[in-house]
Amino acid sequence: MRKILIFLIVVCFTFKIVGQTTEIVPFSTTIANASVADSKSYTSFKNPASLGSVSTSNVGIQYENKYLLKELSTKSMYFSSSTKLINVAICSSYYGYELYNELLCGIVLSRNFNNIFNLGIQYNYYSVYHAASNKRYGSFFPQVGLQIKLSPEFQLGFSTFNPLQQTINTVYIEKRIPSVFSLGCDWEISENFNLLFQTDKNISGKYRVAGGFEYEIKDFMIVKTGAFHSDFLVPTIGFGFKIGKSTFHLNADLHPKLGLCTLANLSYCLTKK
Amino acid sequence: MLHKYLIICILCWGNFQLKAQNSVQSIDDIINDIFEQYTAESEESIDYESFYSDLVSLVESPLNLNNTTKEELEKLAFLNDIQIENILYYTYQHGQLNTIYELQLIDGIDMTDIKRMLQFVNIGEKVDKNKPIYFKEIWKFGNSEVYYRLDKSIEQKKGYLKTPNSDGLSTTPYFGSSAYNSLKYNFNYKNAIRFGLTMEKDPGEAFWSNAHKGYDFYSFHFQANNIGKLKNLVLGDYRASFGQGLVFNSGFGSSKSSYVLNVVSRDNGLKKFSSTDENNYFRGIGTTFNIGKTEVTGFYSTKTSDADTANNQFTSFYKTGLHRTLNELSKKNSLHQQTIGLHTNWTFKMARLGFTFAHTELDKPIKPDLSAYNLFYFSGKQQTTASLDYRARIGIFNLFGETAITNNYGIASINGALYSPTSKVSLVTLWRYYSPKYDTFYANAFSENTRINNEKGIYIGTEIRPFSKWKFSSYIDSYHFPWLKYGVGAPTWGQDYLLQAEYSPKRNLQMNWRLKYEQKAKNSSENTIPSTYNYAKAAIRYQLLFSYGNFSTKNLIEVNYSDSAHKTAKIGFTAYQDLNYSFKKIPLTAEFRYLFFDASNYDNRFYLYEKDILYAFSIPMFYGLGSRYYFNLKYNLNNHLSIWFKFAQTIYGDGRRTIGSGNDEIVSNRKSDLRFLLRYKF
Repeated sequence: MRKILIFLIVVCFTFKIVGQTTEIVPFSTTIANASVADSKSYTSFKNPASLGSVSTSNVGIQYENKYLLKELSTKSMYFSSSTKLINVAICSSYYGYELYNELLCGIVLSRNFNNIFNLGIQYNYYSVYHAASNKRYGSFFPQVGLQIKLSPEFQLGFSTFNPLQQTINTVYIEKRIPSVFSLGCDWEISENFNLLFQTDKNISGKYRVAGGFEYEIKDFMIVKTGAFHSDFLVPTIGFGFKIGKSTFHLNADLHPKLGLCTLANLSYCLTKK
Repeated sequence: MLHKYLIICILCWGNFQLKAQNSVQSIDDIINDIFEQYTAESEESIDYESFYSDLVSLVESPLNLNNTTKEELEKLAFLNDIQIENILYYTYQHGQLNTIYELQLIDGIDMTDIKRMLQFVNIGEKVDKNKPIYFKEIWKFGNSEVYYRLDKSIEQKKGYLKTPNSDGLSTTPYFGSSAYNSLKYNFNYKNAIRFGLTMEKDPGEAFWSNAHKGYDFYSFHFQANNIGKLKNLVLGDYRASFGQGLVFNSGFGSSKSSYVLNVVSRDNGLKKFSSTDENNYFRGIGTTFNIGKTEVTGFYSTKTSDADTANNQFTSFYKTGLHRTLNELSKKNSLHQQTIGLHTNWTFKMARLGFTFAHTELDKPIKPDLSAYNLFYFSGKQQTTASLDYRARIGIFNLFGETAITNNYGIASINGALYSPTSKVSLVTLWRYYSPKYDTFYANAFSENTRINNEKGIYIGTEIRPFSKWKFSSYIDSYHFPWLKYGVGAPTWGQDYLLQAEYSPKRNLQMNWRLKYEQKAKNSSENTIPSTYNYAKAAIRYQLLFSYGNFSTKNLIEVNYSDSAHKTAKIGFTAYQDLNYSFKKIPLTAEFRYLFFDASNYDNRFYLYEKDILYAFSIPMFYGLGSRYYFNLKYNLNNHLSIWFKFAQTIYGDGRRTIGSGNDEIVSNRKSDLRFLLRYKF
């Protein structure tokens, strides 16, 4: 009962302050979207290597809202399965509205090698719909990720989203699918306190630097805070809860000009831990 | 003595424990790593094939540390002179080494050096090096290797596209296909007898056409070592290096690198040439023999070279080795060059003194296009050069140097001292003076310029190991060009600084930080009145290497900053991730890299080493905004047959529609290359 009460208080509080930036690639539940070296949880379309450490089968859904505009929201879902040989996941993400929308689907293969490194490969299909052409255009592209445990406390992460810089040529425009290079680290300062740092560069965009920490207050609750900087410095906070086999995350960013973005993620473990 | 054995036992025990969990670096990785350290800062192409084959020959016949000489140890390019002296001193003082890990007891040698040495040295009993060679044994125990290499670019260059000529016929500017192809045969009998044949065709060169038939380049070599008083005999194509390289150095020259103490030119003498470099070799016969403590080398070379000839004279050598068009083919073998060389050296107790003489004759005179910067360049048909070189040990100082003079009284001199005031600190100081008139054909010594003339400067390098696991290296090089040089229309000054910190917290984890700063002068392109301006470039690099079992990774992040009076300051950024894995159940090694670069200003360009197929080494230049990735695979089909395969692609994301210029232009924003190599050993 106490868990549910804390959960409801935090949910109400978060929905009052929430906000974020736009992209088909969903944000991760890791603080400041600095998930490239985080192997504790898997988020769809982020570093595929993070799936290598997951030892259970899971299903998850996520909803992101940008600047409190429903047209700028991203919905995503995933299903992951863990086997002795390799971990597999399928995921999809939808962004936009009736006249313009983007759909991203992917299949992930990831494996942990001797608890030293995780290697993940993902194959995605991205499509975009323009009402003006009444047609959906699409393209396939890969995604590669790596996480390396340099010591029990320190982990490096690397991922590249659309490394081949695939584009979509429509009748009207050439649309660039984001091609993002990410490098970061996760330092477990103590058993329940992690410090994360990450830098990203979208080939056709600006550099993004992100950092933050995650603190596990109780077995069932985690609190996160950090910031990222691209054009502006954006502070971000978040909370995570575990209730039985379910995990719920709420994150919020406050863009100084555009306003609030929110993220809610619910995942459920299908197998015994 | 008992004390020594006790330490050895402890060292061995510790190392056997560690060996199980350490990764095993392949020979290729070690050689690549050494070469990278040497050349990562270089913007010139250096003959990797020769460097690789020299070190691989040591893997096949490792140096016996209990029966070696300074000259032999100098073949290990990663060791500096102080380390070599310390090894020899240790074996002299304590007798034969019992285990390789005993090297840990020698001053100035750390675990990184030992790990590198492991593949090239062994510990054994003293044996007679001048064993007689029997003809039957040569064929029975000699090893043969055949290499077949094929490279291909995916995107079509303009030079391969058909265009109508003046007669209305559709032709391509390049006569041949876009594939690169080479075929090599090498034979080796215990490093005593070696011979081989190399054939090569560059992209765009015709293999079979009216213009040309067969391979574009052929090279044959033969080398015999240590046969009685005959130390060395070379036939066919060979390299020659003596002293500090002021007269002859067609091998691997000393230069500024992160091995800050390795500025002494060494590994001298005559050596076989088995590379596909089409310029940097001699063709003929040469021999070295010993008379007591005197060593005499004589050689003669006669070969044709490529040059821009007109009216029975030529303006410059043509050194690209490419013969793809009618114009390029007209330069091929247009010049005949004869060289006679002599070197003799005398070894004393603590010193060695050498004398080198060279005479070159061309069948056509060289007459460079008259310009202020090349006023002192060599012109004429004949050139004679002579030099005196020395190496000596006086107390803690290792002195080295060479002074040379040409027949037109151009003087060059390089002198230095290497010393180690304490076991944790080593220093080198080097002074050089190359007069503008000193311009020879085969010089390759320590310098800022590619050409060994018109330069004076002083270089100071320091290596400090203040604590265990840490090593700091730095150099300062201050130089002056007393006369104009290409692209710089006034006498100018420059400085280079490097500071590097290496940290190895664990045996399988290494990281280093490197700060480099250089300041030079350039011609201003914006003023109508010729003038120069100073331009500065600073770069910070962080590199992390991690290995575990059959798996290894490498990360690099580099940021550079360029500043000049005529351009706004710009920042460049690059980062890459390497992943290498050797499969346990199948004989397959896979290497992957993804690299991102952002250098919109040309001054911010990056030169980054990347892994390649055997005998190939790439340091591509990155300029603009984009990414690059490659896959490198090696598969051993059986004990005899191995294959290498590489696919690399660079994708530009800065909106460019074409890459390259002229006949090499590609109409695309991506450039992809395939490489394949097959090796057959028997």
